[in-house]
Amino acid sequence: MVQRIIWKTQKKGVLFFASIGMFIGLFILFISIQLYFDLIIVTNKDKDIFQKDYIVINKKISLLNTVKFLSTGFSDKEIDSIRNQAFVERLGIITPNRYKVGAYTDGTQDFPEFYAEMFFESVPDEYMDINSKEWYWDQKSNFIPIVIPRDYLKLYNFGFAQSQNLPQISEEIASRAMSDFIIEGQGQKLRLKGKIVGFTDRINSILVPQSFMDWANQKLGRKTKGDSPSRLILVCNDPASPSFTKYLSDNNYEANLQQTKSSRLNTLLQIVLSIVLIIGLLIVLLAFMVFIVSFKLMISKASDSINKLLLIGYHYTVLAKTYIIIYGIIILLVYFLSMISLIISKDILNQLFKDIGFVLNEELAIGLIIISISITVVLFISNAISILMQFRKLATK
Amino acid sequence: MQIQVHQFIPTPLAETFSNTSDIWKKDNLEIGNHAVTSIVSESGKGKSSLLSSIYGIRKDYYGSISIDGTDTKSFELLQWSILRKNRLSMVFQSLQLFPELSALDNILLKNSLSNHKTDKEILQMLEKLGMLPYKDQSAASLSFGQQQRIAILRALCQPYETILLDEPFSHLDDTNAKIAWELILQESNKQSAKVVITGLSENDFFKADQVLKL
Repeated sequence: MVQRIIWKTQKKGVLFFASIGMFIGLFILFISIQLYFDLIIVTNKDKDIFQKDYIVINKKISLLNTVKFLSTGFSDKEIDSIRNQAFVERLGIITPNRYKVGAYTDGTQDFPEFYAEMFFESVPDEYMDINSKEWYWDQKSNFIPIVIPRDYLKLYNFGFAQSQNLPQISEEIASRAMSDFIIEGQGQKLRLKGKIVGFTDRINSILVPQSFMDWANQKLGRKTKGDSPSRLILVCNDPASPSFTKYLSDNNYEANLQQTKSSRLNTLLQIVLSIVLIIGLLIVLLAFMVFIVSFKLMISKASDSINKLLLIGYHYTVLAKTYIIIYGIIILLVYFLSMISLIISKDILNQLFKDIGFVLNEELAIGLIIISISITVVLFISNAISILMQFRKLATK
Repeated sequence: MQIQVHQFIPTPLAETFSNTSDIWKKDNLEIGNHAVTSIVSESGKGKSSLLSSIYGIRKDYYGSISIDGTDTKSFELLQWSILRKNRLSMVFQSLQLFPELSALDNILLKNSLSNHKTDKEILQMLEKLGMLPYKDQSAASLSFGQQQRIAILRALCQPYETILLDEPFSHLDDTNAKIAWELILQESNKQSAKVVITGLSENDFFKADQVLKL
């Protein structure tokens, strides 16, 4: 009967519209949170779609470097400073050869005698993007595995070979060819056999195993002081971040940021999802404000009846309960409706993403379920408190 | 239940009150310590203000009111609610009925707080006051006299130690007033409760144990 007096006489149209607004807002909010979990958190962990970015940096070459006034090497202090930046997860040093390297042929029937000076570099294995069993150097054998950039082969096949009417070479064929190398220094000369065991997209250099490089530098390398590394490889968590690019330009470093596409995509996605999330949040807040105001209005309209009920011995919490229960039912209905809509939409989205090659998690993220319940509980408790306070105010008047 | 007023005077009357009053500005005056206490005065002298202040609806007064030794101004909302539900009843001069509810529902609304009366007892009381035929009519459609009888019945549908009646018979003819008064006395006697009633003058159909003039 209490409900009949203080609720049934009210005009409730505005609550219907507030509920629709709340439903739309919660749906947008929940779906953006779900996508955030699906696309950003999960994929970053698995690295399936968005791999970590490996970035090679060096100092910019200027005239001063050319005339040897400035070194292009990184000092220990500089390396430490880079290592301590928030966006750097790991840092590897690219070691150049400090001895002479030459590739040669002995001059057979097919090939004339040939010798060309070249270079090697090496990075610790953990920074390599090849997975070959042959990527292994044994001091006892005279074989060295070599990795070259995939771009070099492309350059040959599509630039040089085509223009010179030479046969194009596949990666498989290139991997079969053995070459002879001479490395020399400190008055010693070593002949080695080398073979391409893999191709890299990560480092633009001719790479040999770190263990070989260390051994050869030790044995044949010039013992010059201050031979500091001039290129570093960084594992970055967010190379597209403005702080990273600013750090590079502030220190006059340069990097091949072409490889940061995945990270840029990641950032772009984060921005888009954040905008959608904020829009959802704004709609929720707006609908919530409409709820608060509507309930205030209804309570104020029913204040005469409420006062009479208080006079005959009703406690204000008993009366407030009527409104709180009704609001609770509305919020619960809106929550379930938005979750059902989310599940249906997620199926559709999963299919859409699958079509373009992204496989998303089939289930709702636990994080989303926790967050969505928390948001709903907060929305409920806030207005419940507001309703209680208003009844209390009426009772103490 | 002990109701005591001390140096009490409603704020609007503080400037104009008469020294001859039995209540205003008296020290530790007990109200309702007799079976029937009648408070009489002309209109506008503060009868309703006094009862409303005791019932906790008005707080604009000087002095203090205490119930069982505690200043009512220190009562929490819950204490008032319990008091109004189980110990102190009141018929308001303005009745405070719910016009949209039927006569019966108005009574049931109060009774449901304590389930003091059975439905049968309520119907019997309605019959006694000649209101049974009107029980399903909305309160708004009843005459003021009829509404007054519903308000009286509503006030009787709870346990109480004291009942405050603010000019309850103002719109009743003598016959109906007498019947209502008998019912009030009967219900109050059952609970050994005290009656405090205000009026313009002393009624000839009942004799108060104590008469206080404002």
